[in-house]
Amino acid sequence: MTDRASPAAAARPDAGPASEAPPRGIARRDLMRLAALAPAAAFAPPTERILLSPGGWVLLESDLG
Amino acid sequence: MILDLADLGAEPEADVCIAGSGPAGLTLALALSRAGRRVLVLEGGGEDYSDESQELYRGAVVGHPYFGLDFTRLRYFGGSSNHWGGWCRPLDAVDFEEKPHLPHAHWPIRRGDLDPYLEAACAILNIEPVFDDTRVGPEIDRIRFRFSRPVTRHAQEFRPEIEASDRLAVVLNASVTGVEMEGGQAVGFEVGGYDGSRRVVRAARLVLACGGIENNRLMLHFNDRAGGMLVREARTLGRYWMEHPHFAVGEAAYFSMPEGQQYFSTTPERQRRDGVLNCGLRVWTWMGEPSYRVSRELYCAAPRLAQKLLSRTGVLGPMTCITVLRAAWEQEPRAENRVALDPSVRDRFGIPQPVLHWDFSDLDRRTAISAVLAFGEHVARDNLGRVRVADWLLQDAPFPENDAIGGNHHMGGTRMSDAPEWGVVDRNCRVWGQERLHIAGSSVFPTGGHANPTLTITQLSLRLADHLLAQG
Repeated sequence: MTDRASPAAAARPDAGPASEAPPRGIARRDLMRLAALAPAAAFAPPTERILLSPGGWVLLESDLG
Repeated sequence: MILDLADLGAEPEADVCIAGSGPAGLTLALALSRAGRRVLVLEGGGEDYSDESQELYRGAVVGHPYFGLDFTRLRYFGGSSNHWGGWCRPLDAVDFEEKPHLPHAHWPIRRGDLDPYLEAACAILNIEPVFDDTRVGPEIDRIRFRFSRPVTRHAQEFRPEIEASDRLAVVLNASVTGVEMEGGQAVGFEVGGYDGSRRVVRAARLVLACGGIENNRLMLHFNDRAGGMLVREARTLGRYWMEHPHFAVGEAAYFSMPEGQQYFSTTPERQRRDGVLNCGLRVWTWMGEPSYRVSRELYCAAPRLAQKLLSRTGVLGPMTCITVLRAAWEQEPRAENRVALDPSVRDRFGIPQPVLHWDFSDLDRRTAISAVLAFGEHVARDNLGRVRVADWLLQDAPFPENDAIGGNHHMGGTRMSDAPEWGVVDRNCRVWGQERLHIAGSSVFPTGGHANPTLTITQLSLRLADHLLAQG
């Protein structure tokens, strides 16, 4: 009775993830804004710095060429 | 017992009358009846789904696209437990605290006020009462969700007890259409049937438990009809409505397959430092073509990392596992996000349809960005892989319209507060200025955390039951 596959039930996010890929590209001003959000102190590990690449990757400094 | 409105006596006697038979209403009703109180539950729908009842949930949405309001909830015996997904987790302690970046949006209670009800709430929802979170990084916790299995469908689960009870009556096809007022006080619910019948049910205590949209619609309408006497300081009524935004917020490329589905959240320290809100992250495995694409993009962004991997494996193929990083997070409670009434469109009982005004804020975006960065830092430091933040988040692009969007979690609008100018109900869910009228359910949430709300709703109903029992 109550466990029907109702349209509303089908809308539940618990059913699984969407697989839409986001668009490409990142503007420099956004990197600056992000840098302000995550100040250097947060990205200053004892051994290695964490960086945000122009493509949005959260990387170790040594990952870069 | 379970009966139809047509079979209800002319002057039913009850200590407590509850409008709504969803998780909030039935949990409260069962707790009170087990303690010896006579309880009458008014359910607007029938035994099963019907278009006749469901169409009363129609409404409009203004702002970001959202589910149809007659689609995101169910109006029959058991309420929205009938399509509940079963996700359970209590709110975190930080969710109850005052935050400098959220003035006038905090709970007048603390998590410790709900903890005594956790075990009983978990028993109702068929889950273990253990939420053993683990700190896995400086600013990331791996967190535990529990899944109600089999999912508690309240009407099914508790039907035998209700049918056998001589103190608890669930009245079907009984729509609450108004409140009867005496001297500025609500003393009863006006009830309408689909056959056009009308009656009033009085009780020493009245509880509105119709869900996070309908509680707002009804209270706005009832207050209008009462000339503002029901909620005397109605500045916040219907406002500070919240969802949990659900979006894909990035991707993670793992060097080895992570075990199963994993759940994470940002620590309170990270939230405070960044001035953001709580955020849960869900790691889902994503295999196939995207793994090549994401791997190629990572190698381009991190050539030295690509060289290291090449020297280790001899080939530069796709990463072992690419995952979608999904987030469900705490939305900023804003006055602009609200349930309003559209007097030009009324339902069969003459009640205006709701208009949900809902959109996202800069704080909503920053909360998600902060969480992905914290998670990405953890993944990189532990050399588990690398994480990428979704472009739409970084670019200030609009929130996507083709994603999950929300969790069907309707919170706020009749929020709990420590003063009437900042909310609609007090710490005991009693409407400010009213002696009898209380509100149950997630519409009383002043903030929503990131956890799915049903467990907290259940805890709050059990706490409200204790309060009403103590009142005599």
